[in-house]
Amino acid sequence: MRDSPSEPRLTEAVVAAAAPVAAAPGSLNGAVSPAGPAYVGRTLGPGFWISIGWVVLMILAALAAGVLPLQDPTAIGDNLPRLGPTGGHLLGTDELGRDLFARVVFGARTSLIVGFSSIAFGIVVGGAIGLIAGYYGGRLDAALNGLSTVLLAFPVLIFLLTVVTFLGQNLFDVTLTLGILSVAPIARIIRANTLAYANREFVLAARALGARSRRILIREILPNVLPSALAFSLVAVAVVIVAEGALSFLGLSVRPPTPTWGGMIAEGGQVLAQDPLVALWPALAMFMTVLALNFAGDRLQVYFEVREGGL
Amino acid sequence: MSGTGPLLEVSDLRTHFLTGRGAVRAVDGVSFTLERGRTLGVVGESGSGKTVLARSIMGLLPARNVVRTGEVTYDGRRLTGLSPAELREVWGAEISMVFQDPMTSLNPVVRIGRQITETMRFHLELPEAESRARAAELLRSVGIPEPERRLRAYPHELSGGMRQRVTIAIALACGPRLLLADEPTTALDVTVQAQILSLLGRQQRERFMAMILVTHDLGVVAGRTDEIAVMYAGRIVERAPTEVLFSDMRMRYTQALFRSIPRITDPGHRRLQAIGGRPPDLVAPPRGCPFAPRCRYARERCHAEAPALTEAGPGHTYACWYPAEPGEVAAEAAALASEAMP
Amino acid sequence: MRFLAARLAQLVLVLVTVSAVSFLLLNHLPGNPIITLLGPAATPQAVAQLTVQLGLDKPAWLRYFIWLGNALQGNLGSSYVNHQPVLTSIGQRLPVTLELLVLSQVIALALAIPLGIISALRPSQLVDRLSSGAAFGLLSVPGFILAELLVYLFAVRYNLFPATGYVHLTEDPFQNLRSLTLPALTLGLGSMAVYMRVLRTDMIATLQQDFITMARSKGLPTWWILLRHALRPSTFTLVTVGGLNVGTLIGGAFIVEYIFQVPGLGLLTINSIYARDYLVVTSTTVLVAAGFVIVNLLVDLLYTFLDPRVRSARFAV
Repeated sequence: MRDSPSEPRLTEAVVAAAAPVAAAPGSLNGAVSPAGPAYVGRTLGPGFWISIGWVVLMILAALAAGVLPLQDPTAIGDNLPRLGPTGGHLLGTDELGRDLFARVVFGARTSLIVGFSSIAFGIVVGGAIGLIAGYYGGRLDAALNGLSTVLLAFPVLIFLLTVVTFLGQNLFDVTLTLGILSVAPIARIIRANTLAYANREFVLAARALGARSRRILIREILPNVLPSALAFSLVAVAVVIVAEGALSFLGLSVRPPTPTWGGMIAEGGQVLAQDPLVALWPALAMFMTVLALNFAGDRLQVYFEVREGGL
Repeated sequence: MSGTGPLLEVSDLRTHFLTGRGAVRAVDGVSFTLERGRTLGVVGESGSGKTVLARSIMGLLPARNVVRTGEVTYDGRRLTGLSPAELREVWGAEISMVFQDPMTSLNPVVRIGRQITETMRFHLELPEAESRARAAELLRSVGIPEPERRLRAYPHELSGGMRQRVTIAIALACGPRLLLADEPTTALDVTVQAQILSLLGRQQRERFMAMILVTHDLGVVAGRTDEIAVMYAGRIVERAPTEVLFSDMRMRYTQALFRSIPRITDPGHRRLQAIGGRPPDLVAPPRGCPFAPRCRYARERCHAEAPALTEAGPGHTYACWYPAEPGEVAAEAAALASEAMP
Repeated sequence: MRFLAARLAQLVLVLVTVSAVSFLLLNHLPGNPIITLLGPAATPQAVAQLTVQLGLDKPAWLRYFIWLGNALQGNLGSSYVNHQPVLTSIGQRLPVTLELLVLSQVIALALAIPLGIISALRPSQLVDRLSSGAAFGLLSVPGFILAELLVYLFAVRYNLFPATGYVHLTEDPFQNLRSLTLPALTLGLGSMAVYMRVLRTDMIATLQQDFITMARSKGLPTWWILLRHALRPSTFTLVTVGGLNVGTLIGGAFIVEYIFQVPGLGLLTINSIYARDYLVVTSTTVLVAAGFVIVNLLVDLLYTFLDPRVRSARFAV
């Protein structure tokens, strides 16, 4: 037991006191927070990689939609709905004779672009707000909290419908609207995560060493908040994809003839009795994508949470 | 059935927890008997297996990843062979347990009264009114004032000492003949500890109940138990009637424990005699005596071979290759005390 | 009770803000209700006349305060489309939506609670794996897809329940329930998935607590321990989630009403947005926001009832 620890030792002692079980001295790597190799004994599992694989596949398909050898998704033919590779329609055609496979792939484009872009926006803006509110606290935090309570009380669907109608039904505006709507919930969650870290001993230690707030935010707190934010954002993308699906189902998303999954499902709903497959393929595609994102996000959250428990 | 033979017989009891790292041998071959109305103190550090021992005797273990072998016989009945339903008839009615932290062992959203009467309802099948009357009487007997009013209280409305009295009342509700008290005072203020221990002692005598008092504190069991068993690394390393233990302890671990207790008669500024090192890894216990790595008297034989239990006198057994001389420890304590006298 | 007063103040604040925002928002929508009403062949004079008649010539902020003043007196204006007083429309539609919501939550809880308890009691075994998997899957199915799936299964393939067509409760209770089955099921299954997972997690945590071990050591039967000791502390997160779920639930109800043509607030709102029927939309928006705040207030009060520790903290003498 030392009598008068020198500066670096203080840090280690503080960290060691905070983590009597797991902290190994070698894991301190310049930063004060114990961001060492602590994901021991926990794997993401095959399910995770399959889910990620599906999402990546969808993204690739959506991005490459223009250059893939697909039928024209908007070409109206005089073909009755039929199934099978005959005639070059992998999944058959819809009521207007349009190739379903191509439409599903192009629909993926809409959903995924809206999903990922809006959440990217939400994470950047909402994340910044949440970090600042959580770290600095005080009146700023209270004001933002009150604001978000009012915002969250506003019926999302109504807001969405009216704003989309107002702004216009194109990809950019729909994405922007959903992005703005996602800021409040994301900020709340990031704030909660930030709060969990802002009061931890290693932050106190960094302050004691004289680090400035901005440095602490960026070097200590952000790396700890980022993993769970990443996990959560996958789930958030799924939510946006569903929201966009609902909008296009109601005919309020990107205008036809651009194919959207929701729109296809609505059209298919009209002919459920005659040919349920028209609605099935886009529904299946959306379901699998949302499921994959939810699963992957969930697995990732558990994976990062384990580290919390150890400390 | 009753009246003859020891109340509790434990024979080579072992409890292993199956974990990713291997089997944790929390209790590793414990044997003893307990007569009716007698008190046994089980003393040991954290990780010595004393809490697991108490739960293993009862059978109150997790359902999965636990292996328990050995025999536990209560009043002639093999507890280890009972089905869960049969065990539930024994728990609360014949054998009761008092837990360490009354804040967590009492359900925070259920009123005190119901936490007492529910045992009576299931074991004694008493009607509601009579249960409540008995519950109030129990609270009075454990020293809680205004018992009728307290029946409607919630645990968080009482102080720590009161809560532990309630847990004791709950344990005594159906008149068990064996009480297992697992560190009943550890979570309490020092001033309250003595009260609770006296309460336990009084109830035990009045009801002619056998009691096993589990603790890490030798001071707690001194003068309050008939016998003491010292546990280390899942085994009993010394056992003796209480006065015999304190006047004639042999095993070096017991000695180290005894020395580590600070006494008011110690000379001022005397260094605390902590036991260095840490308890052994219970997944892979060392080959020889488990205490050898930390024992200042250890020699080669201690590291190589585990000592068997030797008898030092009637009812006094210990496991040590190089034990203390008879009366050595007591003499040392006396010398220290006189040193402090002006 | 300062607590209640503070919450009521919050409610008022939210109502005012929401009404103001939605009023102003709606008034900037492209498209004019006048044109929608009169048709594209309307003469300028007719347009002007109707504009003045409906009071739409005044600036938006002025109209808002007029509206607010009227609203506080109980006059919410009339629909541009059918001239029916908004209050009447709401009075007709609100009970329908409420019935739908209540039914859906009854279904959700009736399934979620037993499944949650069993899953928590025997984690990682058959019932748990099946129900957790199903719940996860259900969570990933968007409401409108689930609606179509249910319609296909129960209305098209096997004609058990009607796909559309609502029968009022007072007319024929049995048909009423039958006509609401598919919509309530759509909403309920989604909620059930959320509730079951939350309850399971909470209950697993509760079952590891010391007081459960103590209850076991008293020799109490398992069913008693589950229902009388473990269930209540495990409902806290469930109640919170329930409160937060209201927003999603109402949004889902709107879509479900649209799909199944159930004449509730949701259908009214969506149609009114299409028709630019401002006053109707403003009123329903405010109503929904109020509902959200009230439900969360009720949830908060429910805590006080469920957890005696909170009771003492809040209403300490």
